[in-house]
Amino acid sequence: MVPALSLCLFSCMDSPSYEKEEVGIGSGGLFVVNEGVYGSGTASLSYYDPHTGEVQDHVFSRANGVPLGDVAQSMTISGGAGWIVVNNSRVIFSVSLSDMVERGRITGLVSPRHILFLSDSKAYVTDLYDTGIAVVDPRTYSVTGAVRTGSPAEQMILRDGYVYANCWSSGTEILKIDCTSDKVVDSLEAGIQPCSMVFDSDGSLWVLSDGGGWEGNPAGYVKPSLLKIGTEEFAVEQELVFDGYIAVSDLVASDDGKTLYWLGSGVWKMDISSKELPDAPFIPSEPGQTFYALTANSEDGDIYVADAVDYSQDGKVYRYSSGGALKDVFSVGICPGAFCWYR
Amino acid sequence: MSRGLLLVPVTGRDGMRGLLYCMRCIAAAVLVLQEGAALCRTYCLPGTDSSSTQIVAASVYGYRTAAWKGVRTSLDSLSLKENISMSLADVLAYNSSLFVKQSGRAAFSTVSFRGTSPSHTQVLWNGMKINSPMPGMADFSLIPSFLTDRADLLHGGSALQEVSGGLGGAVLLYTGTGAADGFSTQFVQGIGSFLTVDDFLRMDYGSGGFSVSLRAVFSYSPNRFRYVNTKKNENVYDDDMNIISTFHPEEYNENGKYRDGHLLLDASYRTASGDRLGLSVWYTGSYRQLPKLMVDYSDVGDFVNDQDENTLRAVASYSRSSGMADISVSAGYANTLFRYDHAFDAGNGHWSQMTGASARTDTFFLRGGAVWRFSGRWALRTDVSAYLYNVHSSEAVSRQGYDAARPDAGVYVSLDWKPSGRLGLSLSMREELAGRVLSLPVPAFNAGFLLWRDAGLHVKASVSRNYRYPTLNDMYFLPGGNPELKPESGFSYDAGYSFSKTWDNVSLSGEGTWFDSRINGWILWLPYGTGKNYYTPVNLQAVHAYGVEQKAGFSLDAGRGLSVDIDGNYTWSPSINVSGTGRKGDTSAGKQLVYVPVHSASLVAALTFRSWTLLYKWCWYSRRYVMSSNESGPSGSVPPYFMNDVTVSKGLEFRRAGISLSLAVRNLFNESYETVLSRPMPGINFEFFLGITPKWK
Repeated sequence: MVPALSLCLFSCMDSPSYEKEEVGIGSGGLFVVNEGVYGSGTASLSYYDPHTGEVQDHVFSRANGVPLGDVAQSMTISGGAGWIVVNNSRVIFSVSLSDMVERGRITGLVSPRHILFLSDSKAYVTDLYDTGIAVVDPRTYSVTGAVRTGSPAEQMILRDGYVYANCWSSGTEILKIDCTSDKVVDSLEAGIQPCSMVFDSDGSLWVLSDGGGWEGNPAGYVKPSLLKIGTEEFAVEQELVFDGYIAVSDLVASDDGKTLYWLGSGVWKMDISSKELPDAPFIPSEPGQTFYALTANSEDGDIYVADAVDYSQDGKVYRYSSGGALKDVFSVGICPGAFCWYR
Repeated sequence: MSRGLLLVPVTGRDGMRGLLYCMRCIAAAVLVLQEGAALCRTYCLPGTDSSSTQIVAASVYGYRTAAWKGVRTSLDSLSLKENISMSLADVLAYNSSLFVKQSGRAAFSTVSFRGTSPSHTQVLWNGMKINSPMPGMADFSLIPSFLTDRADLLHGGSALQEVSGGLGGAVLLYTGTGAADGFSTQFVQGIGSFLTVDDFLRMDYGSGGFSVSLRAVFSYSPNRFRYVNTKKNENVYDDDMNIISTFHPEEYNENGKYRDGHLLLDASYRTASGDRLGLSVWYTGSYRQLPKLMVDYSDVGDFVNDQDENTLRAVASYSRSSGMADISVSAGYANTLFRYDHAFDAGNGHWSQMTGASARTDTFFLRGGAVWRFSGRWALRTDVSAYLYNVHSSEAVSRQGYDAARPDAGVYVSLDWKPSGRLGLSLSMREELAGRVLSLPVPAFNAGFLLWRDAGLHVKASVSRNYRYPTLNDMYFLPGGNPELKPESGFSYDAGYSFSKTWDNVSLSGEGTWFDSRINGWILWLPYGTGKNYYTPVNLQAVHAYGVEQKAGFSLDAGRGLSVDIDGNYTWSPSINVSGTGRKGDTSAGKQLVYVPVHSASLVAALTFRSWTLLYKWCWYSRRYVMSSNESGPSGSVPPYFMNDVTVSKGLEFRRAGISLSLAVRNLFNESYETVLSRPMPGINFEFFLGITPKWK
């Protein structure tokens, strides 16, 4: 009993704490944005050097002595800084790319998803729940206005003075926004839940719609589709409908813009001139693999696929050659959900 | 991310203030008839529940289990009536070997036995199961300890004596009437740190065979405690928006207000011929805000994140006891209305609703049982129970939801045999029906032997099979519910000893149990769908939970009003994910389950001198892993938990009333800690209690 009493009186608790240390990042690598476990504040940022194969984990928390936050969503590089959108922490951190030390932060957001820079003084931020796109000033880290969209928007692409945004969550539209007036000037139906989009080398906008994802979805439930949209007329030029109700996401293009890749029980690959969808995935997923994010390296064409495993342990990233051969596998943080190249 | 009413772990991509409240008591005149199969006496700390009433008729359902049969922990009134601010979660944390996971002060709290999950703990209130049929768990923070007159914990396979599905165990809660004859009242007022107010009123009346008890509990707190947020840096900028220094800010626990009210009516009538009729009605009205995460950078006041719950439970019962046989029947009903809102001010008066979930559950309950005793050596017990669950769940933003109804039924038969005064053997069988699915027979065997009569030393062992059917959320929640789920099932074995020895003024007791349980088809919710934006439950893991539970008690009556009581618990409970998840690259196989400590211990020591009592409580949990791969870094685990509380109490007796004064000090050493990652907890805090028990005679 005496030892127990001693243990009681002389024990004290530690809080989970992050030690601050110097972090060095060289260019040419790949940031992996790890969501963490929702509600636990375990998001993190990993950095992979494709030349050495070296991985640095928790680069934000190590550089700043605090965790990145809850559900890191995306990362964008602009103005010599990295901008990390942390969805459930309702913050966007700006960090110095060389040492990952925070330079500032944007708050006052509801549920931020992606940031798109229009100039040094203006950026758009989409939101999962807000029916508008926030206009922010990166110099002062402040929200300065909003583009009323009517539906929550997801990804954004700037092209010829217009921003194209897809309305994914329970949405159906692609929006065309005049980034001078900050107004939606046109919209286009693009299937049920357009989840991602990319421009090809011909200037056409390709949109991948997931079809609703689950039977009973009030937004609708149809077979997924891949649409080619001409931006001149802002009209659908080609619609390719998948055979089955498969889960698709993460549409990306090769560096030359002539090849499309997306996820759906593996990595799918299609030439932009193709008139029909491929019959089988280019890189089929193995049993027990759960692909969660996709990117392609513009330097060597290598394809990187994130696997969240069980979503509560460190995830994996598989690196494949442009021909589909596995070149490397490395561990990153919990639930890797997005990539960002540091050129 | 799914935006429905889903009380399961989720991990996806998306994610007031007030015045002091006074005690309100609403008297309801309901004819009550309460079964009183057992007597229990209330022992009270001076200064806390100074009730001089004895509980003369607790609503103990049915059969009193023999000491050799299974592992049972009974919480006495001293533990349950320590002070009115305590929930059953607080009591269990310090007075049992169970693991209590609390997300914060007056926040969702779950209890688990022997390294299993909270949904493997079945909770019965006066014989009726009160686990939510949706997530399958019970929130112990919503059970005030002052509204419980007795609590029995059935560990492991012992739970089968009362209910199925308790793969970890079962918690049995009983309430009853008080005053034997005449009228008695008691009022306790608590005022504490963070503008916390707790009130308790009890009125009892008894006459002849009739007795009635009305209790009300009210708790309110803005719960706005201050803490240093080590998970944030506050930036100091120069005129050019360059950061020139940073520091960890002092913040308040924002949006943490709670306002809970409970009203409990118990009544019983017993005839001279041994018939007992009883009724218990319990209403709970709870409003709670959900505090911000420590890593939430939103501004105060620009969001709503709160929940309302209104629950009414009622159980009516009849029992009759004769020399050879006991019979009992009961019927019950429970209704819960639940609402959860999460919205943000998007500016210009525009609110963005993230979640608008609501649910209604109705539970209808019937139970009957009988015990026949033959020749003093044999006892046959039968028990039949039936539940009908109706659930309506909806979510306004995503327009998702489900309606489901499911009947559950069970039959239990046990045969006890005592071939000698020292040896007891019991064989039992339970059969369960969930919807249209009939379980395989669930057998259990118990054996006990009195090794040393003078020391009350028993050795005992048991083996049992058990099932847990998927909950309604598991099967029907939209999106993600999986109607194809199979029940979790497993075998449990335990063996141990217990003793209790009393000398003139010293008593010593102890109990130790080794347990081993294997659970197959463990249900785990995993992200699914395009963008992995919702979760679905799957039968994945095989889990091996094993270990040792050890309890010890010591009491000394030193004379002249001085006494010492010490009780301690220790549990070693590795709970290993044997199979892993089957995902490629998975490293969780062979690792401890998340948020299940391998070691846990608690100790309660009371020093009493005349009308003074000094109570010291201590609780320890070893490191809990947050990641299934058992990483020990700051984002992979929660450091070991030590907590120390002290209460000083004084009782005063006057001609017209008994007065009690008590001061509780929580987090004695002002620890800065988290029990769940990114959820702040308060430092040292205090609450003062004044109890008044008028003497009407």
